[in-house]
Amino acid sequence: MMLSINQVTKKYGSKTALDNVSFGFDCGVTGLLGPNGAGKSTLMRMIATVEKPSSGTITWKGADISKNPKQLRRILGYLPQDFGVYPNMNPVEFLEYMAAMKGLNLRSAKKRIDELLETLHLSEARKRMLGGFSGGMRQRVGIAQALLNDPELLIVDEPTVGLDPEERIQFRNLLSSISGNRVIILSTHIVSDIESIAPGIVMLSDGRLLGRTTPEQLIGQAEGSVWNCVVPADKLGEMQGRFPVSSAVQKTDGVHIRVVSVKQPTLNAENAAPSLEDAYLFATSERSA
Amino acid sequence: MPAIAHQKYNLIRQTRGYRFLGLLAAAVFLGFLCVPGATDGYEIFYMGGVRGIYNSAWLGAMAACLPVILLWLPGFYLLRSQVSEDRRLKIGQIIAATPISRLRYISGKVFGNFLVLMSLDILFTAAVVVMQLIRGEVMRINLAGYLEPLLFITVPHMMVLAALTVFFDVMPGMGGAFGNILIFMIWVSLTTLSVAIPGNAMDLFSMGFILDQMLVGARTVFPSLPDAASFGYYKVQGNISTFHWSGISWDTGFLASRLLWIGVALLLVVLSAVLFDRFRSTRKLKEGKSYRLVKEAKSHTSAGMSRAGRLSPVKHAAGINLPGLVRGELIIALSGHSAWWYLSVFACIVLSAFTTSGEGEKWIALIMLLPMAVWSQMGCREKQYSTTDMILSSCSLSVKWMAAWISGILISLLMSSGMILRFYLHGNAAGLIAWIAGAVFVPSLALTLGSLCGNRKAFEGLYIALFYFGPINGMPGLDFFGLVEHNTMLYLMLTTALVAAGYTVQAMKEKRILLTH
Repeated sequence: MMLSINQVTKKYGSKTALDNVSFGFDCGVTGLLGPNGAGKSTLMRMIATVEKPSSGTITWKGADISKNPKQLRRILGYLPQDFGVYPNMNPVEFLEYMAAMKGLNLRSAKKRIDELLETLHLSEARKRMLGGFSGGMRQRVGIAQALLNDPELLIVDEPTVGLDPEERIQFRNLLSSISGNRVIILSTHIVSDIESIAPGIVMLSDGRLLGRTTPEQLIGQAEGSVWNCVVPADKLGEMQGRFPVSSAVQKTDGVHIRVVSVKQPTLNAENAAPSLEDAYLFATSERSA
Repeated sequence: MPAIAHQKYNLIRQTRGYRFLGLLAAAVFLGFLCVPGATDGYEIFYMGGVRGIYNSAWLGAMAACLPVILLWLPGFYLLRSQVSEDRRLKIGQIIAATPISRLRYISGKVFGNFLVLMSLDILFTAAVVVMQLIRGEVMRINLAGYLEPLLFITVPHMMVLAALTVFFDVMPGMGGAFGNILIFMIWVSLTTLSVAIPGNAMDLFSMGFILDQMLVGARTVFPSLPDAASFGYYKVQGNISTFHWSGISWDTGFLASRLLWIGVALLLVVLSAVLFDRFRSTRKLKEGKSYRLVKEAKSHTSAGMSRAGRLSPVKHAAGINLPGLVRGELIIALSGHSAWWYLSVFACIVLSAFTTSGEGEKWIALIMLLPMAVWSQMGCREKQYSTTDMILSSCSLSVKWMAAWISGILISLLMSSGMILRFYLHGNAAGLIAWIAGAVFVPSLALTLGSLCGNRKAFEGLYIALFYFGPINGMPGLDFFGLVEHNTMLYLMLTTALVAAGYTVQAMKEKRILLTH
């Protein structure tokens, strides 16, 4: 494994954000899935050397990253979930500043900055102040800084937030195109993002590792446990209380709901082919039950 | 009921910060310090070497005067950004979508700030009451002696202060360093007016009104006393003479003037409600300046981003790219200002080199206030713009801190270039060295305070006060530019201590000994 998480625990006071987690990452895109508060961002921040584990180790090619974070930072690209930019800089200045932070040779960085701006459709705005950029444009500047040092380890936390559907698809293509010889960790709530680019999935819940799987395996586990049925509107609340409901659409004949359950939820319920989202819901609800 | 709940949550929010607790502790501590014992060797109130016996009337009057000096500016800087905070925390848009009216929102903020200020003041007064019993000169507590000054003097000026905290937050152009300087000027003017022309309706603080009555009381026992009284730290040798003072006589004219000031506070509330934009200009106010929105031509090809796999490789530099970092810091600090700012800086540099000033160089030194907002941001910029995680995952915090420090000094030397030339042309080597010591001290103070406090207000408040008392008024030891007296060694040592403290804190943050979030 290129990157190994070994019995890592992270505590904030008495709250345990991550509890004795162990697994590894190899080259390619790995999706990190889990509900809010599962510990995904905490794990990513620790891998990105922003925080230190309370116990356990994280190693990159066998070396403990907390002992020599500078070495990892040279080959690390990190796009945090919530980040800002300096509004009075243009994207070129900002990326040159980040290049200096990452210890890059300015001449080679300049060429790469030009290419990144071109690739991320920011060339026309290269001389405009970042303060005037839209959310999607700022997100692309964030992506550019993460790719600036040609990272061997790329960590992207909710990277498609703020991007429009076309940009989301393009970003997924971007990750796919660069994933061959580097480790990419992608955390997102948008299950379809993972479905289309991540051959491996790591699932976290309540700070613990739920499992390591592939989209196909996850979907296979939910086979026979997804149901479509129609219920009267006044029964919807009761159904939601009894089963995980992945969708509910009000129509003239009642509410068409999609239920994730091992048991048949109603007599008229029909079995349906699970999507990755259903499978994710099945996996997390099974664990919490 | 909703109005009461609104106030309750405003107050809870404002009193749960460590800064409030710090001020609270300071208020109690100052309450104890401000009532020195007969043998403590100092007084905080000068009246020809005498003072009133520590009874409720005397201490109640003092408790009404002292918050003007001790609480006004810290209170303003603590509470001045309550509306901006809602914007920064991104709850402004949610508030804007609720039915709350602008007047109710603003008056809620003002009233919340007023309650915070009054709670600090009441605690200070309570500490003074305890000190009356500890000193034991008069053991009988006369509540009216404390409550009347609190009600007639403190409440009106605290209402004005609370209204000003919100007014300066919503008034365009007042949110930054300029507003901080202006409030200091207002405070200095009102305090001077209060002491110089007692009894006039424009006397918000009423210090002259109280001091005059104290002097009249003192002269009945000590007729030869000088016609002046003031607050400050005064060393005393031996036991101080005392007299009995029966308290303040209130007259209707004075009480009517208090109503006038309450009216001013209410007017400020209404004016703030009119100016408040209901969080419409989110970007403009969060970032302190409006930027022209960049419109994109949507002509992206679907192939676009997949080209990323063919990007050129990049080389790492041999060591730390400190010049690149300093260059970046300078760009962040110096770009994006208005044309007027650049023009003013250029004109001031040129004028500072060649203008002759009858009042001395202290007025020329005012040019060093121009980059105050630039320096004050240096230590807390990452927090303000949420770039901390990106930086932490890219670079050593200590190296980044050092780059910011060097850029701060370069800006300081650039601003000083006219003065440096002036000293050189006049052959004043000692003056030149003293000035450079000050020019290095100021950005060091800014960076360290910004890093430690996480905001710009701490440096701006302190710098304005230091500038006023030091270079402008020549108070001993505080003249960091060495215009009246050279304090070169003192400020070089202070700079060393500040840089060592700031750098150590960064190193500790880096090793996660201190929390960064």
